[in-house]
Amino acid sequence: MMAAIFLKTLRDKRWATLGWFAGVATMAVFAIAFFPSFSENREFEEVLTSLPQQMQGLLGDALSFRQIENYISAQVFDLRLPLLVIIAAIVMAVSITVSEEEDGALTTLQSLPVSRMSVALQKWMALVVILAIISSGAIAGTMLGVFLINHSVGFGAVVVAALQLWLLGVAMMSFVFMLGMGTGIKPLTVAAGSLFAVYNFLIASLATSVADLSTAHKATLYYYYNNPKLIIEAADWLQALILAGVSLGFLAIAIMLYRRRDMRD
Amino acid sequence: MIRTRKPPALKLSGLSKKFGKNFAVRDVNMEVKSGEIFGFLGPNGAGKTTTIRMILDLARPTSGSVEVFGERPVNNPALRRRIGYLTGDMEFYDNLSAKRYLSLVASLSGGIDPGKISRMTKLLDVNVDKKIKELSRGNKQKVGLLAAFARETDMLVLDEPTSGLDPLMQRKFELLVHEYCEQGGTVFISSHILDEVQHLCDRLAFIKDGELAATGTLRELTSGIRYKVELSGSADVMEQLKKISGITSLRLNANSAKFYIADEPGPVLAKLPLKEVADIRIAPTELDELFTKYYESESEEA
Repeated sequence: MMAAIFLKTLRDKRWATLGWFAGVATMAVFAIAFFPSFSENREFEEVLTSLPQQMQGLLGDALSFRQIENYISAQVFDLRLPLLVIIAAIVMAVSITVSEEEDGALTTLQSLPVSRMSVALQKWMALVVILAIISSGAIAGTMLGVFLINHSVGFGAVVVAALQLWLLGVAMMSFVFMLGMGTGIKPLTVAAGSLFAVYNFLIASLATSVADLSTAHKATLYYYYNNPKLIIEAADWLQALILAGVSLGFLAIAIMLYRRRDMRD
Repeated sequence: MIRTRKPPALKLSGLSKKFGKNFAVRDVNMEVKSGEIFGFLGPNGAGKTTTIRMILDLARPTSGSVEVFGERPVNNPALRRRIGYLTGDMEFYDNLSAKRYLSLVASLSGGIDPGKISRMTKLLDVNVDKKIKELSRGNKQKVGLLAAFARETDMLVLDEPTSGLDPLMQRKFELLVHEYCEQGGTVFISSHILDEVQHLCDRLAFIKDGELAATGTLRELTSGIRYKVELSGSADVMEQLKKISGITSLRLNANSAKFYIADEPGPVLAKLPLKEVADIRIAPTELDELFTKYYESESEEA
């Protein structure tokens, strides 16, 4: 069966996927649960307004603590959930590429009559599905959180935000996947993947307050994540397409390198 | 009428593999005929596993080529469908049960005859319902044997296949190999259990420091050293030994000697003053002698 490795990967990772799904959903619920405290606290708003513009860029302005849509965009989808999804993407990609090769299981698999391209494609597709499930935790958590504090947001907008979160996760996963399948070297994959994630996160966090970082910001995946306008404005599909294109580019390089190299002992 | 010559099961031509500046395998040329059981011998680090990895396209040659049934294995899963593989330190997906692993192998190989699996499971006495991580090393190896032998293949590449198996299972393994070859299959086996290789293999190759040292049947390889003689006796006997032709690899001590004889031992021994020989042992040269001879010559050269 052509999808044997795809299905096996999904099955192997089912509990980890559910765990990350629950983690993302719980994070969203907890973050939203604090919204009433912020929105009703005028002293907090005054403190925020008195902060320099750059600090407001980091923490969020007064508006983002007063309206639920702004709050979810700036406090849930802007930092917390992407961080979780990116960590999940790195962990999962490392686990089914270099960790399997280090254990020797990937070499055993590759001694069977299956092409390297098929192995790489099936594994990547499985990761894409796993990240879709994990990212959908953001929809479940956001809707539940909003319901618990007796507010409401548009379901469609939350779905679009989760879709963009998924694309960000897929792009990060594809980068780590490219390193893992392309080199088979675990320390390099983990180190370079983590550094890239930290670079993305730091630049994206600081770019709002440091104008000189605007060029560097464009070289991050985070720039194309279209935040913090997710819930309150229509999605920028061009940016979504860029994330998808970058992911496919990383996948193509991964396959090309994997087909050429020796399997590790 | 045009006759097309059937390609050999395996052909290695000028095969080399370098890691950095060092050759792991250097200019290996070798052919294995269809239906043959071929033993590939050498000490640890000689290049056996690297050669096998290139046959299976798990590693790519630096130069030279591998042909299996006339085809190159590089990015050729259709060819790999014809090759079964087992190694002594095989790693599996440990969280799968043996049954589920075999089902994965079947999916990727275009199916495995369930009757064959059931018969082999009984023969090897392995519990396929257990997770692989719960199995002992020997039982894991049995799962590998199941996966390698149950598939419909034309050649088996076995790298130290009996490590972890008890002597009873080793006999069953030999039975499986013979059965496989009776059905027309070819077996390429690397092993350090020389007794096993000696009984199983039609032809042998020795690899040393990545280079092929010798290839042939056991009889061909032991020509010139067919019998090993160990004797003890007087100093006169030792002196006499130096003068007798037909003796090779002579090792003399004060009152004892070891040497090989190329042909029947009678004519050579007739030249000795037998009254002064205290003890004599003559035995046909076995594979371990041959192996040790290659090894010893290496140490002596060093």
